Amino acid sequence: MGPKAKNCNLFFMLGLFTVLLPVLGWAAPPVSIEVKTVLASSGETYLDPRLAEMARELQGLFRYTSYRLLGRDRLTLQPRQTGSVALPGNRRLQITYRGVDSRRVELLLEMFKDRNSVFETSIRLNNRSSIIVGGPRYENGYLLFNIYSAF
Amino acid sequence: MNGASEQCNQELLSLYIDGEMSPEESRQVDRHLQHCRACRQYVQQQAELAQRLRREVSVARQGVDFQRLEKRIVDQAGGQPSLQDRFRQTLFSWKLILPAAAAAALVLFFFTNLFQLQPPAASGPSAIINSFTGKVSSVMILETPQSHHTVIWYREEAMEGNGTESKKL
Repeated sequence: MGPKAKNCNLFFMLGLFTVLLPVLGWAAPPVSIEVKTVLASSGETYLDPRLAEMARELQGLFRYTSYRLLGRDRLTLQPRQTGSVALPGNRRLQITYRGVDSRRVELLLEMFKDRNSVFETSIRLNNRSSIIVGGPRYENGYLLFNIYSAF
Repeated sequence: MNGASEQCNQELLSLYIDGEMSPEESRQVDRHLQHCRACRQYVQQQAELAQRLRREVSVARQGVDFQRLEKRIVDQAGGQPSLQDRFRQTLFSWKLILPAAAAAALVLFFFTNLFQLQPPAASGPSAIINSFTGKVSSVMILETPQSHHTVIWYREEAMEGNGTESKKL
């Protein structure tokens, strides 16, 4: 193989690598998910400092006076992978990472109670942002689940 | 060809005229020519002929555009591509395509990643709900006023024995 042919091969390999690089980069990245379980109630006044920002937002919508952090769970999911988080009241939240669409993470959330499916929702969540799912009664208040995702 | 007695040799004389002899050989021919009239005439004729030929060639050269002639010969031979062909060859050669593709790919790669690293837009909801199905008695989708966080608020009384109802958005 002459030097000219070697140069051609080198150029070809370099070109192939650099053309494939973005394709590999475009593959959906793994997503980090954090689920904060919060008990919101009225009566006593309490605000967990770790929930200050969320509580400030929710005060525009609800009249709860107490926000207590019950738990915090983290998951790292690969595309099309499913993970689940145990929640109070024999509940379980199943999260399936479907992929990335522009700046949003596409997730399928399925809530179970006593092994029965309560609801299923498909969402597209902004990167480094969260959605709050809430409503079920628990003890003297209501449960809120703050689901944050980032890739 | 040493001296007048030796037989004349036209080949040697040609070498002599063309200056292709060693100095010693040339001296020997000079000595021969002093004594040989026939060879002197031959040398003189050849020298005149050569001079006339040079003169003719010189006159002929004056009327020729050598640059143009060279270009015509090269074009006819097909060895020199036209400017347009050379541009096309350069544009579509692998040496240019591959680095250009590499550069374009890198730019695209970095733009894509920068675009993905940008923080979410301040306006618009944090999440878009594509679908919601379930056995719930009610469901509301809200948005917080400041940071536009999406809130799904549902009641699961249906699961607690108050009847089962399926909601689909």
